[in-house]
This record gives sequence, structure tokens and C-alpha cells, in this order.
Amino acid sequence: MKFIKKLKEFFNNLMQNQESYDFTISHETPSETQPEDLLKKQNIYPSVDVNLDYIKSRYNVLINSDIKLREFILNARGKQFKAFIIYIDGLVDTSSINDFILNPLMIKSYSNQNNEPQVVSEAITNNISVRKIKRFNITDYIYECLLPQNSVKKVSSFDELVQNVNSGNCALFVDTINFAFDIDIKKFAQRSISEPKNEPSVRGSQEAFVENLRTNTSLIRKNINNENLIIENITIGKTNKNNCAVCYIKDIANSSLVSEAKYRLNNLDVDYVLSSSELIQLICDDPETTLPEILTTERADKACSNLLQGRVVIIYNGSPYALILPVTLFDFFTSQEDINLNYHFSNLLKVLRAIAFFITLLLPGLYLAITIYHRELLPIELLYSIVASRVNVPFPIVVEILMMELSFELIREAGLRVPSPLGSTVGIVGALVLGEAAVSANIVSPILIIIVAITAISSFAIPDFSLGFHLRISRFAYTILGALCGFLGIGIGIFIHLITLCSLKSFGVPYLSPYMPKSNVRNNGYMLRPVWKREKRSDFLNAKRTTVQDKISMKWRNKD
Amino acid sequence: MSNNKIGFVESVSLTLIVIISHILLNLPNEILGSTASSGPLNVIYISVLAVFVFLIFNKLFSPFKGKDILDVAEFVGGNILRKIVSIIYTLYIIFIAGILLLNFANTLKTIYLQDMPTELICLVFILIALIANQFGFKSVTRTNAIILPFIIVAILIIFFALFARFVPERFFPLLGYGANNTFVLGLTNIFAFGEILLLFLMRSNYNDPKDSKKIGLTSIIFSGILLFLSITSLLLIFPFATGGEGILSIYMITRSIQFGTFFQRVDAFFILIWVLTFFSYISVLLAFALKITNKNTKTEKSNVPAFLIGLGIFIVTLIPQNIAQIRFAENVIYKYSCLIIVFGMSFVIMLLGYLKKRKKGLVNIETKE
Repeated sequence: MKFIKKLKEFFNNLMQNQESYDFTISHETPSETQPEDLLKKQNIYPSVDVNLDYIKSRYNVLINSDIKLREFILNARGKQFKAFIIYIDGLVDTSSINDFILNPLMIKSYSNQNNEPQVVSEAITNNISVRKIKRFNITDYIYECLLPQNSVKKVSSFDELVQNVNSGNCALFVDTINFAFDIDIKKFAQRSISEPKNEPSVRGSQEAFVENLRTNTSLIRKNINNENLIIENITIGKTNKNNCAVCYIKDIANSSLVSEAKYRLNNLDVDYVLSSSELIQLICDDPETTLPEILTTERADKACSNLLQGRVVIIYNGSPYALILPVTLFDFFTSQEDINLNYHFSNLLKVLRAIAFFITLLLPGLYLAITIYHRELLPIELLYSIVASRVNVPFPIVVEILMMELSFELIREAGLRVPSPLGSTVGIVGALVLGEAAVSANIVSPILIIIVAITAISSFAIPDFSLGFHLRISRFAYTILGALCGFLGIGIGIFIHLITLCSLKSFGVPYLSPYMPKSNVRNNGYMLRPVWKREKRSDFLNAKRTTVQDKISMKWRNKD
Repeated sequence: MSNNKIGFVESVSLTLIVIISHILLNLPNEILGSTASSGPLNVIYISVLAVFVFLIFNKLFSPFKGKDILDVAEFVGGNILRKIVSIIYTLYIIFIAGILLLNFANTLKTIYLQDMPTELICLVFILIALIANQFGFKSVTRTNAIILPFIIVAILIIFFALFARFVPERFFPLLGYGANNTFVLGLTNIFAFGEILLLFLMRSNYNDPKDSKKIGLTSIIFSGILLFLSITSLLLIFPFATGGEGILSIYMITRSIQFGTFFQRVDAFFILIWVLTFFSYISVLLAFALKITNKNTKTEKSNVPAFLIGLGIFIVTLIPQNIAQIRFAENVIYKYSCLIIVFGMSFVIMLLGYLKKRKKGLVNIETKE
């Protein structure tokens, strides 16, 4: 994709004919928009009635069914104040509202009715008693005595308050006070922590992220026992203000990397971002390329191990996937299972994945190139058998392979979209019945079924879903190039692929690090070293602390 | 230019890729043609000479830390000399790129693309090089550095795969056509190292200018070894009289490789490597021609110079009408233009620059720095 963009850019610049942005949907004036004064930054008024009207207007309380407003009289030290609370039904713990907000504020208990001034100190001199009395302050009294909640904030801006109410807090407005109490009583239905479905591991942790931001950050906190783990919240979106957490370890992660991540997140001028995938496209270096530039994971342990390496993890509220940055190409070949296995086994798996990568990418293209242009490579017997198997096939070999690749993609897509019990049936029908029938009907040759099947199986060995997509698209390009001009075409593909990889960066880190540009690969190369030899963090991350462990980590071996 | 800094590996790869591209085509034949069985000896001789020549150039460059030969030309003769030198270098690069590309396109056409016009094959290479240069100088150098190990491994495979079939007697007579042809007339074969010109042009791009000597020596020594292996393979497989006839010297010897029973002939695999080499070669030369032009015209953001250089290379590929003319252009015009421009003109510029610096008394101060 990047190649096509560059080609287009080249010709555009060459002819000095910059195409203007051409958007064809007819202009339409928005009929119902929020009044501008409402969207302005507005501070809370001292009058509860004014606040009530403002909130009613802003939340469209008359038509909004789940916005709950409760007006009441607040009792404090014998005095009564007009007050109201607002919350969103379904996002809060209503029993907490009843027991720990409304009850203490409304019930006239003896202690609350006592109107006597609080004596701070008393001194008697010459029979004259001098008392120092604490002046009654309604704000302090409510905050200190009437709200038995662990998380209460005083908020003076409507914008901030509304944002918090939208995320499940309850706001308390009291007459004469020019701020509101923002009380955290979130409780909503959510999926419980379950096993990772798309990144299974035999020996690793079985905890996967869920859709709730706080649950996800707690999973990270639970795994990283370090006070330097920072979890910063950033709000994204103007219409739908959603939170995302930027996680990093303060004394490990590179400061400029953290700043860059926060800078990009803070400078998104969008109405809403629905998912972490959309967020990736908005913050990655080159959104045009089909290569993934940010790693996603549903595994909490994977996110934690990357944080400990000095990377930044972004968790977006509503998405069960954490984003890890920066990344290199080789990170997409890594499975969390690797660190749970002996390094010999892990390296064997890594080699297998690398082979799978090349097979997925090149096998159909190479098959075409060899059978059309470079037949001299094949032994005569094999060549005869290929030719014999194709005798009754009426299509050119390129049509045959494109047809089979397309069928395979259809089967894969259908298998994903149908309800899960039917998925395996689609696979069996597609792969076995259709394949067998196609060979019997002389539509495709048997050897082609083998080629497509090996390619398909290899594509499943790639751990990362996004990289798999890139390979699927690229495979078609290689197939066409191989059919057009044999190894010259394959060469074109490889060269363009390489130059794209070399030009790509993920948050300032070259995509082929640590191999190109060359840096220390001893500790952070493709192959995994024994755990006692993983002494350094990746060079390309420029972490604040480069050393992970001493040269001799197993001190118990030294008897001295 | 600060974002175009390149490291040691990338710098060495840039020089090697250009020399290897020559090796893949006609260079071993050309050397064997003029020296016969003393080809390997001649390669050792010219390699040692090339090292000496480079050391002399390096000494002359010593007062110009972080500067390339164009900066030195400007220092010597002002803006005018720099522009003249730039134009000569650009034309030279366009010429060698075009001639070698045409030769390779003809090779591909002969081997398996009989139905495709040579012009179209050349155009594909030039187009890909133009696209590659859109990604920037750094991407080109890095891609080149990734491809290079595969090419070196391919040359080593050729050498070792054919080892059993070598006929050591073909080394004799050791002096081939005689000592005069090996050491006096054979001196002109130093043109094989003509691409040290790139070392003079990329000095301003080094991450660490102190590496310039190491980069130059490594490039020349590696090139010498690869050239020696290629010439030895060719000489010991074919008698030099017949070996010099083919235009596809390295390809011809890869056809002799026998590898088990699964592959009938493995030479097609080498075609893939050669294709990548030539994509890299054309991209690198285009990048250098572009670097020179941009430095002179300050048109870094425009694609017009790249397009014009690409067009120039394509026009060069259209000039020779037959194989004989290609070989003449490669063996005579290229050889002597290389000797004059790279070893003659560049030396004069550097010498004048050095003397001018010395006259101003700046040599010792800057050398110490």
C-alpha cells in the first residue's frame, strides 16, 4: 500500500499537479446542535437552582431515561440546605447512593442536629473563660462528616464533572457552594476476567484484559509490584469523551518516548474513538502501510513484560486489547509462550515461525515463477508429475492459484463470521469437500491444493493477527508478480518490501531494529537467549536503566 | 543532511554492491581476457594498489573532516568548479548505471525473458529505483545492507559448490600472457575498484567521520576477496580462452553447480539474487546522482532531478545497438572514463585542495582536531 502511495506521490509531485481534496457529499447545515454557550467552559454556580437548570439542560433530563436527578434537603448541624444529586442509572451502585450518600445527608441524627459550636481550645484566666471555637463550614462538614466514601473530589468545572458523571460517578450539588462533590461509586455490569482467547498459552498466565479500563490497569498493577509504575489517564474524543491509560515505568521507560505517546494522544482532534484499533490508526507513524506498527495484546502478562522492558502500554476504555509501543518487526513473531518455555524450545518455535513467514508470503508466487519461467529448477520427474496433474485443467496456472487462494480466503472469512458451532463445519465443507470436488472436476490440480494448504497452515503459525493480514495482502501481490515475470517479479516484490520495512518507524524506532540499523543484538535479537544471559534491555528503546540483571545473576552458584 | 547519516555497515555495503554488480556481469571476463591465467594474481596486485591509492586519497582528505569531494572542489575552485565536477560525476554515474543495466537486462532476456523487450526490463529497474529513492537515502542504504549478505553468501556458495570441479592446472602459466600484461598493462584493471568514488562522495554522510579509513579499507579488501573468488572460480572451471567468450560469466559457472537430485539446476535461484543486486545497484547509483544534484541545485523536495536522472539512465540504455557495442562501452569507454574521472580528476582535485589548505597553514590544525 505504501508502495502505491509513494508511486502516486512521485507522479503527483513530478507533474506539479497536486490533487485537491474532493469530498462529494452535499453540504448540510446541522439542524440540532448544542448551543455554543453550553459547550463553553462553565464553572459551577453557588445557587443550586441555577445548577439544577444547567444540568437539566445539559443532560436533556426530560427526555433522557437513564439520567437520574434526586432533589432533597440536606441536614447539617441543624441547618438545612437545598441539594441534589445526579447520576446515570446502570453505571452506579444504587445501594451505595442510598446508604452512604442520601442517608447521611438527609437523616436527622442527634449528632447532626447538634448546633453547638465546636470548641477547639479553652483557657480560664481570672475566672474569665476564653474559648477558641471552630467556625462552622458547610463544605468541610459535608466532606469530612457526611460523605462516608473513599473517593470524593471537589470539582468546580461543569465539564470535568459531567465527564466523571458520564463514566459512572455521582455528583452532589449543595446550595451556597460553588463546587460539586464528585463521588466515585461506579458499578456496572462487566465481563469477568477470563482466559485469553486469541493468544492462548499452555504455561503462561490465564488472565486476559476485559473491556473495563480500571480492571485492566488493576491487572497490570497486580503483576508489577513497583511504585514507579505510572498509569496516566488521558481523555480522547470531544463528543464521546473516553479515557485511555498510558502506562509506563517511570525509571525505566525513555522520557521522550513517553512524552511522544502522550503528545499524540493529547492531540487527537476527533469526536470519538470507538476502539483501540481506531486509536492505533490515529497515533501510528504511517497509517497507510499494511504493516502493523503497534503491538496489541489481550494478555496482561505480555503487557507487563513489555512495560518492564521499557515500553509504553496504552489501554483504551472499552477495548480488551492493550497497545504496546514501540515495536519492531520481530516483536510480531514473539508469543508470550516463548518466555514460559525453555529457551531451546522457544528458539525452535521462532525458527518455525520465520519459515512460516516466508512460506506464507512467497510460496504461491515462487510456485508460479518456477512452473512458468524457471522449470529448469525442478527435477524432470517432478516436472512431469506437475505437468501430468495439470493435463485436464482448463485454466492457466495463475488463474488456478488465484481461484484457490480466493476460495481459501472466503472459507476463512465465512468460518469467522458464522456462529462458532458452525465454524468448523464451514472449514470441513470448504477445505475437504470443496477441495476434493475441485480436483475431481479437474478445475484445479492436486499439487496446487498442497501448495495452498501449506501456505494456509503456515499463515496460522504467525502469532500476530495484524501481521497475518499484511501477509495475506502481500501474498496476492507476489503471486501476480511471480506470474508476470518470474523471479524478476519476485525480486521486485522483495525489494519494495525491504525498502518499505527499512523506511518504517514505530515511535521513532526503526522497524528492523536491532538488525538494521545494526545495534547490539546479543541481548535483544530475534533468537531468545537463556534467561540468565538476558542482561540488557533492548538498545533501540534507550531505556533509562539498561541493565536487567548482573552479569552473574545466579549468585548462589558462587560459593565464595 | 543530518538525517542522512549512515553507519559503518551501510557505508561498506554501498561500495560493495556496486563492485559486485560489475563482478556479476563482465568484470571477471574482462580481467581474464587481458591477463589470462594470471587473473587471480592480477586481482591481488590491483587490490593492493587500490588500498594504496585509497590511503593516499585518505591522507589528502585528512584536512577535510566531514567533507566530501564536492566540498573540496568548492574549496579549490569555488562554486563553478564544484558545479563542473558535479556534472561530470553525475554523467559518469548515469553512464555506468545505464551500461550495466542494459547488460544485465540483456542477460535476463537471454536467460528467460525472451518475450520481453530489453527496454521494458530496463524501465522496470529504473522505475523501481525511482520509487526506492522516494523512501529516502537512508532506506536505500539500509535495504542495500540487508541484500548484501545474501549476495556474498551466493558468491561463496558458487565458489565452494564448484570447488570439487576445479582444475588447478588452469592456474598455469602463473603469469598468463606475461609479466608485462599482468603488472604493467594489467595496472589499468584497477578500474575494477572505480567505485571508490562513492567513498569520496559519502564522506559527509558518515555517522562518525573517523570511520572513513576503516570503511574504505574494509570495502576494498572485501571487494578484492570477492573479485578473487569469482575470477578463480571462472578460471578453474572454464579454460580462459572460452571463459572470456560468454557475457554471463558468473551465470555460466552457476549452471555447472550440481546440488543433490531435488534441484535439476540451481542457477535460477542465483537469478533472484542477481535481480535483487541490480535493483540495489541502480537505486544506490540513482541515490548518489541525486545527492550530487540536490547539493548543487537545492531541489531536495522535488522529484524532477530524480526523474531526469532516471530518464538519463534510460537514454543510455537505448544507445548501444547490439551486444558488441555494449561490450565496447563497458570494456573500453567505462574502463578509461573510470581511470580518468575517478583516479585522475579526483586525485587532482584532492591534491589541489590539500596543497591549498597547506598553503593556508590549516592542515596540521585540522588534522589534529
